[in-house]
Amino acid sequence: MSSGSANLMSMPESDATTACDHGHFERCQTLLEVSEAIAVHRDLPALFHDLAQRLPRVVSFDFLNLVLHDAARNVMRLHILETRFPTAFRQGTERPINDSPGGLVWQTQEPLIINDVKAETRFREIMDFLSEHNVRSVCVLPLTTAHRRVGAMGFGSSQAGAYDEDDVEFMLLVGRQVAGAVDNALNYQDAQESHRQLEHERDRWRVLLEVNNAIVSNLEKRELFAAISAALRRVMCHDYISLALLDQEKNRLTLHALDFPEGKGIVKEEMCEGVESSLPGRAIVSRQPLVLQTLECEAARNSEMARRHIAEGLKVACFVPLINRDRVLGTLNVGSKCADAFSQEDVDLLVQVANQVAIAVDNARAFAQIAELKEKLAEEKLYLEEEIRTEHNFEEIVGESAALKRVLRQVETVAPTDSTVLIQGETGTGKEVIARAIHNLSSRRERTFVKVNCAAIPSGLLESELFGHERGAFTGAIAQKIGRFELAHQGTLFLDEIGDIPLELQPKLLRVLQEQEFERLGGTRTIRADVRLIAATNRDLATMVAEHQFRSDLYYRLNVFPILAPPLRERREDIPLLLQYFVQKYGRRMNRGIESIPTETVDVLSRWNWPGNIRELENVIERAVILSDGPTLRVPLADFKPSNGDRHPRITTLESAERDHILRALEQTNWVVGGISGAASLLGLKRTTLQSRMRKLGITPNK
Amino acid sequence: LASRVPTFESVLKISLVSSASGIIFKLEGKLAGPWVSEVERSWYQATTNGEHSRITVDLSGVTFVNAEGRELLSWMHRRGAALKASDYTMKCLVDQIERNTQEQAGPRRL
Repeated sequence: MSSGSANLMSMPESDATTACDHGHFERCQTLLEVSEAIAVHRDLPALFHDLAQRLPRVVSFDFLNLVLHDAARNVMRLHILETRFPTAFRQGTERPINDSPGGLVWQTQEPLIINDVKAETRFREIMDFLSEHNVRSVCVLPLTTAHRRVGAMGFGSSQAGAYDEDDVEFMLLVGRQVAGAVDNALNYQDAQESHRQLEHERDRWRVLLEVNNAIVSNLEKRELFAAISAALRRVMCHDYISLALLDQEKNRLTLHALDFPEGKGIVKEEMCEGVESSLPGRAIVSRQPLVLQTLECEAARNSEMARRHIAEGLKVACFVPLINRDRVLGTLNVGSKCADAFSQEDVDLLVQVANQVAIAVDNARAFAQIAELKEKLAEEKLYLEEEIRTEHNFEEIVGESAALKRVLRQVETVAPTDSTVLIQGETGTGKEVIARAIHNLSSRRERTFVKVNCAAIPSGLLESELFGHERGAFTGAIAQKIGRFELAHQGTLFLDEIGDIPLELQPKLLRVLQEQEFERLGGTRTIRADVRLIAATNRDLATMVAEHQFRSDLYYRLNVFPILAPPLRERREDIPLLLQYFVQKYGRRMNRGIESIPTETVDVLSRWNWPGNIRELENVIERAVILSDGPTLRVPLADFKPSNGDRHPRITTLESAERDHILRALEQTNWVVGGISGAASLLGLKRTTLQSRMRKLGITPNK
Repeated sequence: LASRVPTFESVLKISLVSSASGIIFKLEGKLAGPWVSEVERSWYQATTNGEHSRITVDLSGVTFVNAEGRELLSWMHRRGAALKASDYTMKCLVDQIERNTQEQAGPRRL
């Protein structure tokens, strides 16, 4: 029985009637106040706090609670507990429906009165807890609206049997109003939560849109990542963002597009690390995002890049693989100096951002590849056009001499291999023709034969000519240039006059020959080129090595397969054939119908020594064709006969004759003593012997 | 000389050597096309910072000069630059420029 009812029984009847009216009035008044409180408070805790102040006037209780049904988890959850006493019960505590008085009431939709908590056998755990907190009786009422069963409202009292049917009847009235309020509040909370969720999603979609816009409008990686970082910063706390791009060939990752405004410079762009040892590498291998809430983990200790990130003060990092068309291109790396920076929701957003970035990276790579190929093709086209202009009519090697046949056998032997060939021989002996023959007989014949005359290019430009340069590499480097090595990729590079290559450039050439890789002048990117090298010179490289004018290591690397182009005087039997060939060539070109070459002409020209070799012969024939106005070739033979003075020379001393002879040889060779085309070779002497004779006869180079 | 068309290998390397006695502009490659204005720009950069007693344009590494390049060299020569050449063709060009400078004086508008 309630305290209100007990008081009524001890009163006289008239007083009791008055008291009853008064009690009824109080309850109506309280109901009105409850309605007002519901209208005032949208917030449930505030409402229940207000109810806890007003209801004790008409109902006795020491605690008041609100238990709500959680449909998602199918449990009853303590939402609010109002009591004057300290309690260990926490809001949010969940109980199974069948193990909770509120659950029973919610299920049955009937009020539940427990007059003696200690005697109650159900809900043992809760009953024990209530007993411990001096609660003796309990009344629980369903909270139900026209639309749904919300939960239950419970009252507890320190007195046993504190609640009777009158109380229940009144509290059911209160419960109906409270149920509506709770329903409204829950709906409001849901609406608020949905609104927040929508705002959140809107913000993230906006970020994705901004990332997309940044990708579309920024071709430059750095600007792109600054824009992406700014967009992400609005929804996600982060200090650092970068790209690690994968080099499939080397299985390495390189850091790009670093956006780290507060960085100390310990982490830099272009830093590289192997995939296995790096943290982004783990994300690449698993193809899943990797979030490290503590960067200083075991894995980080093995990674230099991770150590540098730690030294920069980063605590948390997230590595998201960049995957496009099932191909992993690298990772999007985001770091923060705050602990627990990245939630699952953040990671989900980063995955979406990474998907966009992956498309951009793939497109950028394809674009760069196309641009590079386009540039290369344009260069190749220009080069080939120039080749056509130069008119190389060297398809045929003319001659049947033993010396030439020996060379041709060597050409046939070496051509199918990829070995480096060094062609030596006097000027005009056809070294380039031999080089082209090697190329044409090799498996590289479908690709370009690129020629560089090292002597014809200013020494300061030779490095750029061979290896290319990046824009701004030197004053005048106004655009990127592809070098001849790149141009000759999968083809043949013919380095003519290799002896003229400056000493300081020789190590770089050696490196290309050994490792097939190089960097453009002013560039950092290593370029690989599959090039077969043929070098040629009319200088004696061995002597140059001995005189420290040529690096020995480069010489040995070049001299893998030496071929000596014979001088024309050693293949005199080819002179008539060559005569015929050049007469036809220039006769056709100049529209001259030359039908015969006098025998005397053939004899005289065959006896001539031809210091300029085939080039000299060709020029003589070209001149002769110009001079010939009939069907017979007219060669000014006087130029090729010894003069009268020569026929009967004045007798001098042997020493004087020797001196004159050496001087003539030196003048003819432009005072070059050693080497294949030097005076010693011409005189059939050793270089040291000639030098000794020169000293003895008082011949010094300045003469 | 000026009628030849520069090929794909057209590149001009401009090196500046400054000393107390003056500046040497070392040009290597082909003085034609966009490189003419590059040389002109380098000239302005080098000469606006101070007075130099002597400016030498070293043409020993130059393999080709077109009409514009020749005009620039003439202009530089009129401004007091000494033109240094080593091969026959460039020596001829320098001779012509020097003769023309003596014959016709007048500022080149750049």
